[in-house]
Amino acid sequence: MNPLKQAPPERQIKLLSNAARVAKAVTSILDPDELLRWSVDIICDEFDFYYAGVFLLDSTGQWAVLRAARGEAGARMVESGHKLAVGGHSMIGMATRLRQARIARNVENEIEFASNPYLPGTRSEIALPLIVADEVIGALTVQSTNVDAFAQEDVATLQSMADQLAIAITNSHLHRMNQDLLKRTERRARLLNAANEVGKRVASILDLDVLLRETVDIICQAYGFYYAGIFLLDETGEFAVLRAGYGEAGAAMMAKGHKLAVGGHSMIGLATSLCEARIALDVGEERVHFKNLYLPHTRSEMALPLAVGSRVLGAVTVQSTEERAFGDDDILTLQTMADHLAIAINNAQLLRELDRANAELLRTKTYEALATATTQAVHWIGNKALPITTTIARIQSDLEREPLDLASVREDLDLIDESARLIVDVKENLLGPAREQKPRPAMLEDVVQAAAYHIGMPPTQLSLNVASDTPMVMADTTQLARALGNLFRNSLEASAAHVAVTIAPAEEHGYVSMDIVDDGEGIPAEMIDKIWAAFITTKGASHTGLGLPACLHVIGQLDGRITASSEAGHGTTFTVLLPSSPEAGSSSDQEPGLAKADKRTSHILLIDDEDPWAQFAINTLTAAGYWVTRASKLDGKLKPDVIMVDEALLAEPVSDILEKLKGSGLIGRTLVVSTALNVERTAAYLKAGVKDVILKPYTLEEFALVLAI
Amino acid sequence: MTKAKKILIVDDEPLILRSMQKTLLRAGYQVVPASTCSLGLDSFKAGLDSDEPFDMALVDLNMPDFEGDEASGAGLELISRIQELQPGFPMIVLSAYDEVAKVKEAITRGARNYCVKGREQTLLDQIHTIFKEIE
Repeated sequence: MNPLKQAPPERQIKLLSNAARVAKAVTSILDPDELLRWSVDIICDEFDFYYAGVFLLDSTGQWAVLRAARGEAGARMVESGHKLAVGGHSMIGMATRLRQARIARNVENEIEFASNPYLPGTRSEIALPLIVADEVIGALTVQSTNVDAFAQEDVATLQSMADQLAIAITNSHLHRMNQDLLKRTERRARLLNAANEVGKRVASILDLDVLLRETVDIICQAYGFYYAGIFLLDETGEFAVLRAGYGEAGAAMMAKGHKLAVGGHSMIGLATSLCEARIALDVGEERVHFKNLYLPHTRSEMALPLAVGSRVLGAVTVQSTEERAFGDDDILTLQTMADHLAIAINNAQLLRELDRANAELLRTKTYEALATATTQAVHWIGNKALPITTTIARIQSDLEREPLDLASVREDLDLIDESARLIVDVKENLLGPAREQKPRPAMLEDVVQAAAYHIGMPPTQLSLNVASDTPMVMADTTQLARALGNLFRNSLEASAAHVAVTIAPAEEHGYVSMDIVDDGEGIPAEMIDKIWAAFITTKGASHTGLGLPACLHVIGQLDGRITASSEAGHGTTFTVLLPSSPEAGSSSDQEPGLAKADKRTSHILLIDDEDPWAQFAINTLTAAGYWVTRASKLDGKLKPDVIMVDEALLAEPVSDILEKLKGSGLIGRTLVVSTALNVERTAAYLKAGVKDVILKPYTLEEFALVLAI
Repeated sequence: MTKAKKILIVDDEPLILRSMQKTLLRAGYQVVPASTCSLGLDSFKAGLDSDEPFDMALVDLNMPDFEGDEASGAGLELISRIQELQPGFPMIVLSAYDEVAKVKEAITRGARNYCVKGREQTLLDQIHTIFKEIE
């Protein structure tokens, strides 16, 4: 029952209590929209009024806009944007201008009352200003179907209720602002995090494509955007080509080679040609928006240029399914990210250009070197071929003469012989034997000793020092022995009395260093730069000048390096770097791993000098369960199951050993192990009847293969 | 008078054939050249069927095989076929291949020795030695 119809003072008490209940109800609602909706319903329900409506001033302060209203009529008016001018000819207008409640006891008599076709039942009305902290924020209208529903004495109570409503409305707006602020703060933290992530990746990812891919993922995941893509300008500068795109749409577009013209009709086109950010808050209204069939849900888009200084490298596109999706924070952090990315892209491109320039320089230099070498070779061969052809012509002519000048013919034949021999030497040195083995772990000291042995260098002329922690090297031992043999031969031909070889782990990680120092005549200063060039020799035309170039070639093929330093009259030092073997540590600490010894092959006789390889072989084979004995000469009493003879044996010529083995009936169990395989020696050993001639094993696996023979 | 030993040379390089033929002739041997594996095998068989069989063969490795195609192992096949017809028949490989693997293969198939072209200065000595060993 309408408390205002009751007799006072009960009426006042009821009014106060209802007003208090309304105030309590509305102050508990925090959401502004919900608050307004509920307030009109609560007021009407508590007081049994016909209609209530809440107007709030717009941002101009000139209009009071209906924001919530009771019933269907109210809903229709809210939807139609019903508003009344502040100070205008209406109850609300006057209440908001005068900041006082206005009462129309009988609307038919009230000049301020503007009749409303939506509310035909209204007979009386009260309009109460909504004031907070002396500021009018709107007005509340309450209407009744009864005349005289509102008395002057009701104003205070009802105004107090309206004031509570005003405070509740203000509080709810503040609450919403707080929520928004919190969301924005959280979002900003996420964006900063994302920017940090990209920054870290820019610093640590070397592969540009990986960096771009990860960046679009970070952008979409951190910002919750629909799509992000990164375009880079192609070499012509005419097109921006998609280099990374988020999700399936991105992948599909990249597969098709999606690109947009710089300066063309698209956000990316403009961003790249003008080097400025382009933002479309509603793509439907944007003239230059490129409608992309792969991205049908885009409603707003941003295109940010990727630029270093004034140089445009490309652009980033970011797209959302919401209109007006980009706030100031988004734009700021994304542009910062784009700037970082641009620097990374620029660096990657600079590096690529540097690589290309380097490769070009190398190609040019290599070609020049090749051209020089070819010229030299052509020159040299011409010089050696001419004596053959002219001499033969001379012999042919001599043979027609009577009497035959035999001395001349003999001399001519010597000329031909020498030329032919030199030509064959070129083939021997420049090409050498076939490359029959790929690089494998090897004991460098053993290869050194084999090299010295095979060129006939007396052991007393060579001293060898090896650091204990020296790892094995990766080498084709046949080629390396040949190359080292060339170096030793060089020293001997330079009248060196002694060659000192020092082997140790190199300062450069992954390499072994070897110094070969002789006390020979040295290399003249004007020749030192030329020693590696083919066909250049200080030793006269009867030398090919290919020993050192062949050495350089072999060591280069093994991914090693060699340098020379020398002083005329004070000897020469060659420094060789070779890649160390990645498999094991030093050659002395290999662990046993061979299969358990076969009972049929239990005794192995090693015919070798006492050297590091022999010790390695003994350790390895003993650990695998074999009984191993070593001797540098043959002991007729032993009857081993397998005999391994080191080809580079110093104690006795191998041919003598093999003869004795033949005599003892043991030749068929004999394996000759060699660091540097050679056709003639292999043929000779096989002719002598050995079981096989094999590369010297330096690892467990190689021993296992040998013993399986 | 002792009959001169008869040597078969098989090589597809005409200059090599002629040069080696002259060398061997001057050393007192009879020489029959053949420029392909097929011709070489035919010559060998003809020799077997006659009263003047061959005493030795010098064989190149890289030449047309029995199908007429250039093959690096053609000479190895010829060694095997001749050894089938006459096991232990002395044969020397004379090849430009400077490869240990080829040496092993040739000797496994029955060759007595292996000479690299360009380093063949000891060839005559090798031939003399083999004939001495056989006697």
